[in-house]
Amino acid sequence: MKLTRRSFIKFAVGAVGGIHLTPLPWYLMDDAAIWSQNWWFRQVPKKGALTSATTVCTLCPGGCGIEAGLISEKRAIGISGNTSHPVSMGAVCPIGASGPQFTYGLSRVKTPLKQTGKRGDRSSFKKIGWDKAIEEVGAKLASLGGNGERLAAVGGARGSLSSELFSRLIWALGSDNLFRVPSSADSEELASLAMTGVRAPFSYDLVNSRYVLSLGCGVFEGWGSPVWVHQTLFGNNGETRLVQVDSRMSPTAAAADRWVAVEPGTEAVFALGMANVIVQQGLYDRGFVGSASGFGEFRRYLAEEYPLDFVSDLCGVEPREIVSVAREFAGVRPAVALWGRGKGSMPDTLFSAMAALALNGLVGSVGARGGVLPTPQPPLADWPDLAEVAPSAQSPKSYLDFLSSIEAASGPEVLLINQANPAYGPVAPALFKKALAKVSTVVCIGSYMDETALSADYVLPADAFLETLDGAVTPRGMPYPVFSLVSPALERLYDTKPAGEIILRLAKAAGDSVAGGFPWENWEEALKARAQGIVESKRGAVSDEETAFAVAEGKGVKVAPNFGDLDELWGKLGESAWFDPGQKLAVDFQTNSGRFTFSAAGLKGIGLGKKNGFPRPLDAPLSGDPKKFPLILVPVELLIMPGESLGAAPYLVKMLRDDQLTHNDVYADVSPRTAKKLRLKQGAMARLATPQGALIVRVNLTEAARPGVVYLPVGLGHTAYDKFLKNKGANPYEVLEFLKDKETNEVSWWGARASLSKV
Amino acid sequence: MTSHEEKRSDKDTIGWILLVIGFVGALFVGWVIFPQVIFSKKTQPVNFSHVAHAQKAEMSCEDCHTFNDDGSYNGIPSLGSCAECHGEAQGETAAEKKFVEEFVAKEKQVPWLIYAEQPDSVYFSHAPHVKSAEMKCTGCHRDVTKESLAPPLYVNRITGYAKTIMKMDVCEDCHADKGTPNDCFTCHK
Amino acid sequence: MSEEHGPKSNIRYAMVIDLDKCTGCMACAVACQEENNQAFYEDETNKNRSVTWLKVFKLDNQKSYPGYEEQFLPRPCQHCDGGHDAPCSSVCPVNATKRSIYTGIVSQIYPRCIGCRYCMAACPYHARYFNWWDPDWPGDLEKELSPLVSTRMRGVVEKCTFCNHRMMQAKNKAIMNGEKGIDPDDYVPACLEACPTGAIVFGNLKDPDSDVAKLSKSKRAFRLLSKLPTKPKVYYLSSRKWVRDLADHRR
Repeated sequence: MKLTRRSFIKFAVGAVGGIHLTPLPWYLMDDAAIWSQNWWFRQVPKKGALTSATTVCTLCPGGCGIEAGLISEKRAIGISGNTSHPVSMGAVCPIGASGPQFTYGLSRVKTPLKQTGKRGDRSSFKKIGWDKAIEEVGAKLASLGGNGERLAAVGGARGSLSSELFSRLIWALGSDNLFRVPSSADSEELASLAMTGVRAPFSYDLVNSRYVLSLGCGVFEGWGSPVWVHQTLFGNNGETRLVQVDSRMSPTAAAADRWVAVEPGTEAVFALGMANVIVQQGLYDRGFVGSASGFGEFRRYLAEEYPLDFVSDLCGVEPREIVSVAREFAGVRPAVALWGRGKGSMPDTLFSAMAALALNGLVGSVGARGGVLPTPQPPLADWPDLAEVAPSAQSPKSYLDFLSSIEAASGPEVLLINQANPAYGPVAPALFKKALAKVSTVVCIGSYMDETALSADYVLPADAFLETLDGAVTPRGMPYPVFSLVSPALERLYDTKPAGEIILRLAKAAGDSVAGGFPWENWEEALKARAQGIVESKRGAVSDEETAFAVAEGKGVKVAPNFGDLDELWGKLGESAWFDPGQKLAVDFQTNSGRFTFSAAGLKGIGLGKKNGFPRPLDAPLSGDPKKFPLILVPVELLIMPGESLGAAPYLVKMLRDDQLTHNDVYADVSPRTAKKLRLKQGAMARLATPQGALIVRVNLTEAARPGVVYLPVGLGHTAYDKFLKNKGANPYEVLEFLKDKETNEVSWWGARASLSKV
Repeated sequence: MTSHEEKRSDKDTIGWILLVIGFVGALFVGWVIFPQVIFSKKTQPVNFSHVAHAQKAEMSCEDCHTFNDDGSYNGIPSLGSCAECHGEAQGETAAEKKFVEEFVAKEKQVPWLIYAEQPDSVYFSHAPHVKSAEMKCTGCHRDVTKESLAPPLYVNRITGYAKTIMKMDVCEDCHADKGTPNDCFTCHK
Repeated sequence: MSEEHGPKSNIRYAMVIDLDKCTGCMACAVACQEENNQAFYEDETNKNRSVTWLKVFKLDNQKSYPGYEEQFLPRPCQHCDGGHDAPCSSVCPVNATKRSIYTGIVSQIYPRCIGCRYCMAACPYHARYFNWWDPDWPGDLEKELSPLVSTRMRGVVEKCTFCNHRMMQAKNKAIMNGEKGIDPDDYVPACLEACPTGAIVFGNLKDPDSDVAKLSKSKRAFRLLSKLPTKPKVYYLSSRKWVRDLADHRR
């Protein structure tokens, strides 16, 4: 039999006919359709039981209580607020909302690393074990032999107990070369010390204020504890009047009831102009002012230095507007003036902080309902005094001087950096990088491979968001003492440790004399030693939902301790925070006179305050020739961009509008009037030059900008981190001018003279 | 008839036979071979005997297949629930020994194969079906009460879905019959 | 009206956003991204390609400094309740998007979508987004994916669902507790939950006692493009006239 073509076709016809009478073709079609819906590379979320865990957010110093949504107790899929926590009461900010991306981010440091090649070379980092890392760094610290000059340290944001432990380590090593990322809190502390005798940054009883004057604060842009500020200012259905003094139409100005447009950097002068009006028109609180000291001199100072016309000229505000705001401010009780530019982290001068505090004093809003008070601290027990070295230098050393001195001469042998990114900002990153070359060993404690970690010799990876164990004290701006326990909500992903544990281990490895000051077995024990103070104080309570909301609504709430011993307190701190809303707002003035004082004389005790009266504004104005640099550059802090020690998560970068970032180009906001003069069109590339350097930006024409001023967002321009952040935009910290407050030695920055030209 | 004609008629017969062979062969491939080839066979990592649990240990279905307070359904219990009894081996079966040694002792979740696993785009909740509509488990699932050997799982090689999966038309028809919502978001997410 | 609101249903989920309380902080928008597994890419600056179910717009009064004013406007899907389905769902050739007759929520079924983008052309609010690329959560970022919401693939359209999955969870809870309806406190979209000023209110528009029903009748209330017969179920409140005017392109 021969198979012919003809018979083969018959066979095929039969087969085709037959196959159609089977399910095969129809099933295959269906299967193919389903197959096309499920490409193998599509990531499918893994299923599991939905659970949650409460902890405290560590992404900014705001200290919000949060609840992490978890799958099978292993993966965090979302962050919401903890309704019983007094700081957040169930809400979050955008940074908190993007929280899981900080835990799972691509820039996490996964094991201790040692640089074996050239600094800054990613590929030559070698993984080392914890024991070896601690041993090597500890030996370096021990070899300094207590000679503090051979060690320097930069610490991150305040407010956490791990940062306090870090300070303790540096002091125990005999060094006073400890620098913290400068913040408005530094000058607020000194202003408060001068005028109230209590050394603490400002806090505000916002819930009970009926008139809030914001002196350039980014009230809704991350200032203070952001969620708490939002909630309290909107909590009473718009009864509080908010007035924003700011050079631009900021989101805060947009949401405020009134916007006073001033020249950038003159907010404090505006405050004193208002103070002068209030004094001259006799609108001040006679009871409070009568019981204060130094008023006569302050009154003369105002009359001589801040006459209305002068203030009007300097601030660029009509005299009648100053008078009108002053009358409003003095006419509504309680009224309060807020201080702290941007997120409240931009450091400013003692003068500015005192101006704000004095204005509050005039209307009797210091230590009163709805007013300002020195931030109350929770009654934590102190760690035992260090045997050998007393905590050094009450008066701060200048970070700028320090960097310059290293660069000029020889540097310290070891530089320790804890949860900060000084190679990126905020103060003189270029100078820091230069100074780094003179330091033989750089050790960085942090969670991410940021600019500073990249240029370190040892990177000791700290637990990140949701993983770590720490304590958080009263967040910025809150009027009652708070203590939160940051407890792990997730198992740690990598070979990391809580920052506190790393510091403790370093202390133990740094020689017996140092180790003696750190008697705790582990970090948790050290935290418990502090929390013991709360148990002994028999004050306050661990918050619940009802109490938290009652306090937020301004109801007088009396709380009684709901814990008997440390174990009970510790257990409850896993659910919410300890706070004492019943603590009276009145300030126990501890000045020499025992009264509120309108002068800086009280600073003499710590070697500051060269003049008796009120300090002058910076003696050194912004440098540069106004003809060559006719504009003023003002950095803008955005709520969606975390502070300098943390790179923004992908979801946050995604939220930037297209008039803020295009591809990798950041936009600087410029008034159309200014742009017209400079012949710059919307979106044009321009060179933004200051006496300190230059950046390439695009210009965004907006009427929100004050003519003659350039606004550039901070938080971009990273050279480290992952592809979602790296090389996007420009870093204003590189071109800002860092001024030294002659009164206090502290760094201040808020702008720079600038020019803008087409490229 | 000439030999030529004879030859042709032979050819014709062979042709027609081939056609029938093709036809029958295709039916065979389509009905018998294809259903076997299209599915891959997988077996559970450890045998699970419903009989041993229900009869020997006298457990009820709800002892393991529970609802949570929020109305979500546990489905197959997690290792933790199993370990409550199986911290140590209770009997002498090889399967239990393997289970205790490889999973309980190492605190490793068992990668159970799920016969009714729905794709990612499907939302299904037991609560409205079992609690509200009071449907029986066997209305959708196989009867496991007499099963001492967990059956193998057949997975479609193309789609990756189990052979036993319930498809959308079944859901739709029942919802239509019962007059319950048939909106897309009723069952999709 | 029965035709407009579907047969028999006494549920119409709606949202009221008080712009006077909105500071443009973006907590709602980010919470929405995280909750709903929205994709992110290396370059998200082309906003026509960027997936943002809840987008926060910046409006201004077009005046010069210092008379200039700004207002932020969060825009989720408006879940249109017009007579003939929603503009998007009535044009879908494959029934991949439908408005629920029971809840009024406009759905989107990704595996069914063929990516023709007819719905995007039909939506007057630009509330729909097309996946131009395959979403990718690199490295450990994959761990943040929520199983409550399915992930999308390249070539399909997606949009705000009023966090429909949270409604399903609330339903489960109600069933467990033997209750007939959902407790309003149990069904709260992620944006509302995140908002620190309480600017967003959500609930059943057909329940006269609900906050949304009351606020939707406020003097400050308006809807976007109210001259169109789309009848959005998202209401806005603003005391600024220029904002209300802008919502209907009246300048």
